Amino acid sequence: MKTKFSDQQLSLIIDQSLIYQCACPAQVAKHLIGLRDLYEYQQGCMNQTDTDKAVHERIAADAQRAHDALEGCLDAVLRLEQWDMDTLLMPKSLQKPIRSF
Amino acid sequence: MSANPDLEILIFDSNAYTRSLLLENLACLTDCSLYAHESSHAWDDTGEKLKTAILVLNHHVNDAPPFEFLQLFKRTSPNSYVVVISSPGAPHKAFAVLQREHACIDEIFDKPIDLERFSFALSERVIAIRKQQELNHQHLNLLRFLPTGALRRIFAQPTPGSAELFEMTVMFTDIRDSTQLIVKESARSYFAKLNEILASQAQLIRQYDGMVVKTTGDGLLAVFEGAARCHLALKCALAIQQSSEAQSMPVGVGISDGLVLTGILGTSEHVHFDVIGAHVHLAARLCGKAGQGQILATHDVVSKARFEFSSRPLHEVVTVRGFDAPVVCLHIQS
Repeated sequence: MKTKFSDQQLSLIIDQSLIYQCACPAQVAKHLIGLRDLYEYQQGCMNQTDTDKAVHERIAADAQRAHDALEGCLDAVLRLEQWDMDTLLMPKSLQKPIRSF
Repeated sequence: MSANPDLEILIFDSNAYTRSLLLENLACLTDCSLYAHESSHAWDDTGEKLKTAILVLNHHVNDAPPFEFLQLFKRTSPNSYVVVISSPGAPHKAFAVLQREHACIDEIFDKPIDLERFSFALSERVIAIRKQQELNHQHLNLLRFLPTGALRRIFAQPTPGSAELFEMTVMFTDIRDSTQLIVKESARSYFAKLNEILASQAQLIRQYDGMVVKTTGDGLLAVFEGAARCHLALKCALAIQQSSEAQSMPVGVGISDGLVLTGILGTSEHVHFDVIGAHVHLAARLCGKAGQGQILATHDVVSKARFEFSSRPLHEVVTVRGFDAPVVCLHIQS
């Protein structure tokens, strides 16, 4: 599968999303991981008939298309929210202020 | 439900910001002490291993997975509940393998998590732990009413009327001249003193691996099991006599050994454990015959004890229903 963000980078984005309210990029990243799992799963499936092969090819192609679309979405969202694209760190302005504890 | 201040929530999170967020959101859990650590290295297992805790590990992808720590924690604190918050994908899969193969993780939450729901899930867990603690406490209390050793298997199916035969040494104790004591003291004061004496006898019986079957007014009925039962019963009787001498409450003790029927008597609403048989009668008779500070045992008990006990024969012939011939009995001396 062709990817722009590595698994490690997706996990890093998800790690910063403890607060649900600012977890939109993390939600996208989570679905990207799900699509990667789906792609990997069907790659391991047996092709016993032509239909099997067609089914798996279809899933692989559509998972890749969905993945490309969501990766593009993630890239755009991170830029809109002004994340640091080199370190993939969330801007301070998005962090929920912590009450004095 | 009573509050248990020993319940601790231990938070491990390498990130100061998310650590604070977790602390802030879990502060709503009542009657729990919250402790936050930056890393598992900060955990002092010597001080915390005996307490029940909920461990919350917020794992970040750049951290080394603390697999060894989680295994150690569960080993030292097996009643604790271990929760891992991880990223889906590879980190989740690695923790899931650890959970499956080493059973050191109870629950994995995938990020992103809704902190409100997470706090609610933990509060439900706290309630469950408290209920379990209360049940354990009740269970331990109930065990004090049950027999020990092989006899406990009778309680696997406590059906009234069910019974089993056991080779046992039976011992009766009885406070001598208790009527005079009751007259001399107030009933309340005598009752308190009686309880104190029977409690100290029961403690000695437990020390010598015996089991108190029941109290019999001013005394106790106890049984001893196993190969050394006669020896233990005689040693215990001597210890009881020594203790009663010190308490100025003289007792008489009777001991016999043989097959005894043990079982559960009662109805479906109320049951109690009891022992019956000729040797129970014989021990009771010997206890009745024993004077102040005396121990009377059958010759059979003394010979089975294998170790030398100073004794002299009881000249009086003891006949008991269920025994064809008179029973040879001995005075045991300290």
